[in-house]
Amino acid sequence: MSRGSSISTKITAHSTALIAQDSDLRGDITLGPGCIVHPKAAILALGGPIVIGADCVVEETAVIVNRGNTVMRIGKENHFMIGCRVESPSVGDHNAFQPRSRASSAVAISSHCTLGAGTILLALDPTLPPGQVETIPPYTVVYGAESERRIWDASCEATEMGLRANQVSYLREVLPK
Amino acid sequence: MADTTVLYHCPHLDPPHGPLPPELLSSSASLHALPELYFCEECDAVRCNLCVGVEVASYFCPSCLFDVPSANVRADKNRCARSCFSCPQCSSSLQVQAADPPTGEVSSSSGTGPFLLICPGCKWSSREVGWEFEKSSGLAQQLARVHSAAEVVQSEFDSLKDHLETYLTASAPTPAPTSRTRHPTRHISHLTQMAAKALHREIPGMAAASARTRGGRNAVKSAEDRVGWDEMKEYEAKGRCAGLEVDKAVELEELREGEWAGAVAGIEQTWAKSWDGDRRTKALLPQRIPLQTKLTKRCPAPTCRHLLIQPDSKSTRMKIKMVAANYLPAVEIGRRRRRIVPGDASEVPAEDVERRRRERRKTRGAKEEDEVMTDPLRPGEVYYFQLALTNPLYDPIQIRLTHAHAKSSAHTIQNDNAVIHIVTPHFTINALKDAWAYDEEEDEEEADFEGTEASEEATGSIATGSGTGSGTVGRKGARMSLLAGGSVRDNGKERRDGVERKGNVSKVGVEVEVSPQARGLIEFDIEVRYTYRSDEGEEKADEDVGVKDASGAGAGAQGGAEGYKTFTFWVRVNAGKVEPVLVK
Repeated sequence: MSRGSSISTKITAHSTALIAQDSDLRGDITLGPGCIVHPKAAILALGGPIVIGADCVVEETAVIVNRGNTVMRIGKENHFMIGCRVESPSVGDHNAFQPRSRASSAVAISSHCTLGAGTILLALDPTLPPGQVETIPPYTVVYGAESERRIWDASCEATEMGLRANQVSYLREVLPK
Repeated sequence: MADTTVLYHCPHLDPPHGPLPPELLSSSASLHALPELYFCEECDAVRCNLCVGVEVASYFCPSCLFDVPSANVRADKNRCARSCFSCPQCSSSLQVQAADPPTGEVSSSSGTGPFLLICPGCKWSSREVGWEFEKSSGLAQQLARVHSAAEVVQSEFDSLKDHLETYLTASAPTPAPTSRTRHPTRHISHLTQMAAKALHREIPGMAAASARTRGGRNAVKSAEDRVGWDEMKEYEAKGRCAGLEVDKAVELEELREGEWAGAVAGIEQTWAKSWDGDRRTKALLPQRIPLQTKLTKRCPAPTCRHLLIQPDSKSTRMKIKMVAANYLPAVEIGRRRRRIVPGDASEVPAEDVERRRRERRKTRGAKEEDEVMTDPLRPGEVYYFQLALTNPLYDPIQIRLTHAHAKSSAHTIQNDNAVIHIVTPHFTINALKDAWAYDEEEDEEEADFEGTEASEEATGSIATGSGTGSGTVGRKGARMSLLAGGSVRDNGKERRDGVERKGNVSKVGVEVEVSPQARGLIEFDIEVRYTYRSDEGEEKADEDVGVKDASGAGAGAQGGAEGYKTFTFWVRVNAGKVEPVLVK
């Protein structure tokens, strides 16, 4: 379960949230309705609290870390796939973090974005002072070996969300077993 | 570059010989990794990709894995004709998906809506270039009808030809009343005569036309001929050259004003396209995916020409597959340990170095430290590696390792960079066994090993380990020896002959002493000779410790009655890169 080394763990989860026993949750975490946390996922609210919206899925070995001292707000219907690592101070809705993607703490993520597999999301301006944060526009897709960005025209988005909703409902049935 | 590698030498069509010494840079051309090599059984020789003869067996699309019949390949311009396109942004394969219906949520996937091409990598959608399809298959054909740019040129040419054709056929069948039948073409103007030959050359089926032309070259220029001159009407082109210019001007304007980063297509995306094309990012169209080939490879020896690789057109497997890994032992280097020498190891006089070396090799139990293989080597240190050889044959083999280039002192290699000593130059490797055979043999094998240990060091006879002759040891006895001699046995393996054996893998030690002036890579060549039997039976103790002849014979049968077979190959081992410790 959760091992708080020097941090007191306080989890506030909605009754419909599903948290696997093997996951690592530390610090002050709030989970919205319908969230699913897979085994071996890690949500570490080390610096400040983390608030996760409704219907988010955090898969195995995904890491959501908050090292800053402000609240890290994550919106609804986000999909954190296997091996991803998110440290952004805020995340919007309907995003997909594909396997092994990484989002740095200098970038805030808006809605409907996709971080491709293995990509790293860093601030475009490397000289940004450590307090400030760059927000990427909605519908951004980060792709490729060089982690390039482009804006998506959202074609077939509804199909994708429908697919995801099917996956989530399947998980909800199967995970408790 | 800091990775250790073991490469095999292919002597191509020459009689087998070793590679040139690693100090000569040209020697690296004939070295290959084991997975890339083939083996010809007829010639008993290693073959590599450089010497093998290659033929195309079939063509296939890498995206849909469809085998394209060779007849269609030329017609399709070597590209997939079946809806496989590559994304213009990230060049991954595009998927066909139904577009979202414009109203509200989609509860079930709609299979009938207009179809788009979506890139799973960068989410590029074909809606950005205006491609939408009614059906989800046969996209290439749907495209060809509607969007093709090559059509413009072709249709222009067709209408031009039609125009001239009507003129030609109109004037030909009007014979003058006094004409001689030998010159039916004299009413066609001079210009048309010359043009007709060129025009008609394009049309394969018009034999009659060319016959006419031949006769018309000597036409008499009479007044009747001139009648035909003015009849040709002016031709109106379908497209306008000016139109093309306008397109180009728009493009240049946009390029001039737009930001370079976004508007201009990058090199990765345009290098495969034509020079004149539109350079803007938004004009990049998905390209059909080029086909790839499945190759058949043959032995290059002129008398042999045996098939080494023959792919199966229906699946990914091969009908014939003669790879070197099935014939040659796989050599790998690993498990680096560094010897810890107390005190300062600098500036030792030459005689002392040799003496220390001999002492070092005799004594055991010196302190050693495990190291990561990717760390650079340090000059002046002594490292121990393990060479692991894996036996691919179903018979046990006997290995002899020697230095590839020197004549004397066959087990120690010395070059400017390092002194390399092969600790165990002669040893055996057990046979490869299938997984189920291991379960049966396990108990018998342990008991067998205990028994032969004593005799092994004395005469060097081989413990075959196959256990076929040791069935007399009862199961209970075997288990007892297991329990009692467990730990002793493990150390015993090492201490006895320096060879660790597990299954069909044997590991031997190699000592690498890096000289204080070393720079660059530590590379050395080893000649590996292995001997195996095709018949069963005990092998005589036949170790030639001091054999100096570099064996050039490929398949020599040594020892008449036993049916030995020997094969020799050469290996270059790269032990890592030397980097001096930076002095602060």
